[in-house]
Amino acid sequence: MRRFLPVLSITIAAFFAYSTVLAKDITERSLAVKAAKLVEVFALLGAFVTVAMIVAALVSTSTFRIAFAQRMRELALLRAVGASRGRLARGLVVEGATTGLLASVAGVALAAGAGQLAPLAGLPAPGFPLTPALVVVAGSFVLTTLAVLAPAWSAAKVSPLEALRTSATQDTRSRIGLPRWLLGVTMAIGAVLLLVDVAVEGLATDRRPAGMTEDLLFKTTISGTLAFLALITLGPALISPVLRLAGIPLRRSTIGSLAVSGVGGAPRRAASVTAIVALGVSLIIATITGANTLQGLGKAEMAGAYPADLEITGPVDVKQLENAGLTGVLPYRRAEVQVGRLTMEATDLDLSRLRNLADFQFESGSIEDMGPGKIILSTYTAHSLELSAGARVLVNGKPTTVAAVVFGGVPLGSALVHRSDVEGPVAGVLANGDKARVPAGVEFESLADLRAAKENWFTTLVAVALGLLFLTILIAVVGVGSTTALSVVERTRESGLLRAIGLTRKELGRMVTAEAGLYGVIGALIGLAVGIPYAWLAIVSLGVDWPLQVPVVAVGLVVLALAALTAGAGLLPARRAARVSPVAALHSIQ
Amino acid sequence: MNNYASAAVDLVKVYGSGDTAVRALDGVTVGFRPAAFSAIMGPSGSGKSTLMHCLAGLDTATSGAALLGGKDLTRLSDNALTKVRRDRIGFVFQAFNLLPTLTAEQNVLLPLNLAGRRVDRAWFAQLVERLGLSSRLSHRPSEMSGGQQQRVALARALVTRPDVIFADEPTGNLDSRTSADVLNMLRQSVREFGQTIVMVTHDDRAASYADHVVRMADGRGVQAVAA
Repeated sequence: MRRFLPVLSITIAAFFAYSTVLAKDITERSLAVKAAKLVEVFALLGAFVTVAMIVAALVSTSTFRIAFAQRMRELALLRAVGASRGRLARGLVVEGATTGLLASVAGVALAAGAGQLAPLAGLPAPGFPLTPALVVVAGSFVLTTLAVLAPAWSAAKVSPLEALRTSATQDTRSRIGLPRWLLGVTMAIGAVLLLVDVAVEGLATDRRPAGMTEDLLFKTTISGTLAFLALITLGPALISPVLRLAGIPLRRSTIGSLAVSGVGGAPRRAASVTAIVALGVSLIIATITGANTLQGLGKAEMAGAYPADLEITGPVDVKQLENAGLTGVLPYRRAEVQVGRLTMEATDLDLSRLRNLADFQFESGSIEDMGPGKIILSTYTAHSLELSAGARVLVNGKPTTVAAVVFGGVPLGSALVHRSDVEGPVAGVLANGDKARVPAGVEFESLADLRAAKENWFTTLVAVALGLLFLTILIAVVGVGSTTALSVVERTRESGLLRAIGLTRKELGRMVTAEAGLYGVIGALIGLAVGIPYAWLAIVSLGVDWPLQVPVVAVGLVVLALAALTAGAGLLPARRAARVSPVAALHSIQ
Repeated sequence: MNNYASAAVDLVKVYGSGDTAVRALDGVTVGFRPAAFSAIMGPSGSGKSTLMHCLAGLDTATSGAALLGGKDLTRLSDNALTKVRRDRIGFVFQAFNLLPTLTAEQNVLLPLNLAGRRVDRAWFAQLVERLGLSSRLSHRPSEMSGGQQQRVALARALVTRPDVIFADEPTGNLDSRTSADVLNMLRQSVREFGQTIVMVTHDDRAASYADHVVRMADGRGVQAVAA
């Protein structure tokens, strides 16, 4: 079983990848059409599957490293009796690749098996798309093989003398060499420079040339990747300060301090496993922060675009509509206005009488400032004219004051003016109520329906993204579990000693669980520190005219859930550690 | 048997079952006096380590009694045994077994911290001074020599003032000069602090430091008094 720990993450990733293929198959069968919107969803899925695969490969590299380190004596013995370095490395790579192949096949088989449960949920059973299955198996096989290369090579460098040692030594080094420092710092500087570049460019330009958004997004991605690579490179040196912070609440108890020093005792291992957790967390945090911000904007945009349930156009009788049971009937008139150098559609809609007034967000000014001789503009218009609330501008040649600037857009046109400044007949009305109540022969559009369709689409997309990121987290949690399991095996003597001098089984178990939880908390802290700036950067690159909204409660929940999940992943290794008798533990060679 | 600090009464320990069963202890009856330095000697496979493990509450016996100050350890649950080890027994091992991530001082105080007991600073200072560890307190095990590590381990065993310290081949990993040093310290702890020490060894020279020697062979013990 221990040989398969390093590839457990690969099994999950393969399962996940093939499940996506099957999900697509099921969706197509049940809809019997290839809807254009599905293509978008599955492109997103594909991106997340790729991230999950990379995380799985990283987890597997780190676990291979530990697993090989534990077999140092065996490997040293092989070296002592004449195995060459190259041959040893080849042997380990072949072993890793073989388990990787088995793991990938197992993942695909599990997904195919799980797919057959679809009829239970009232969905059509998927087929067995062969080509994607082979692609998934081949892909995960290649990834595992790549993942095992570096650990195999460094394990093969073991000195034959190591076979004579009675106890394995832990890698307690936290220092990293100068070249590694230089590389890490260079990447970190690169990441920051790009970040600043994107921020400056993204914030400065109001009107973007074609392709600029894509360009900024690309730079954001590169900067994020550099930041993550810098994190991995500098990890062992960063662990101890972060650990000092995360360990504060634990230091009060002896078992807690032991857990903190247990994690700190193998900084390289702690660095690689927490970096993986941090990647998962930063993606989740960036997604929920981004989604929350876009949702805020979405709400404001929807408030502007769909200010009521119904829009009735043409000359109408307000009394007739009210008698039909519609509420909030609000007539408006239209006018074409010249604001500064721009010509636009405006209405005299009274914003303050809208049901969803609270959804509107004002960049400057407020609704109370509206009155005769005043105008309300959208941020887009205001920015292009370089105006804000209180500024004076010529509207149709008349000096006018900007009362407020609204995020996302104003309803029914590009500007709102006061009813005393518009002449002419009523152009239409907004009303709330069931569309069935609209009297026959009246022309209308159901804004409520349009809004619901749009909202559902966004919510589904965010849910799908979060679900997939959760699977990435799951792989990282499996990484924490296998790291803890191997660390427990490596420190059997140490736990034997602690048991001998008075640690009960339960207390030893608690210590191991706390160590696993610490990996999660440290990863989450680093993930937060990286995720939130990049969420902001992504919003800036998308050119979204909206302030960053960090969903504090959700972020807190993510961190807590992660600590709980990783601590949970430590439960099995903790039981195992607690089961071993102190005599057996003290006499184990590892 | 009640005037012994630690004693075995007809102690039997069988490993495995059926044809492959091994009687590591074959009815051993032996006692160790308080405030004395005793040694258990014997070749490897004689059962000396198994005897020590049973007496120290690290392992369970098949039958017979392992007494600590008159209390039979063979009837205790794992949790109760852990408490006995924590509060009444000290250990010194061949491989030092210090925690690599803790400093010398933290290693010494670990048993007290685990038990949630207050540190007797005067006693700690006296120990550190007598064992010559004053300048090493902030060092980690990897920064200390074998002899120094073993002295830290001895301080860790002494700091709780246990009823008995069990030392398992404490000089097995040390050169002869450092061995003599550690053995002198063990004897000194008995003389100065009235500590009871039971040492397991296969080395005649180490055993010669003890007040009493029990020789073991094939799972049976012979009590003898050394010079």
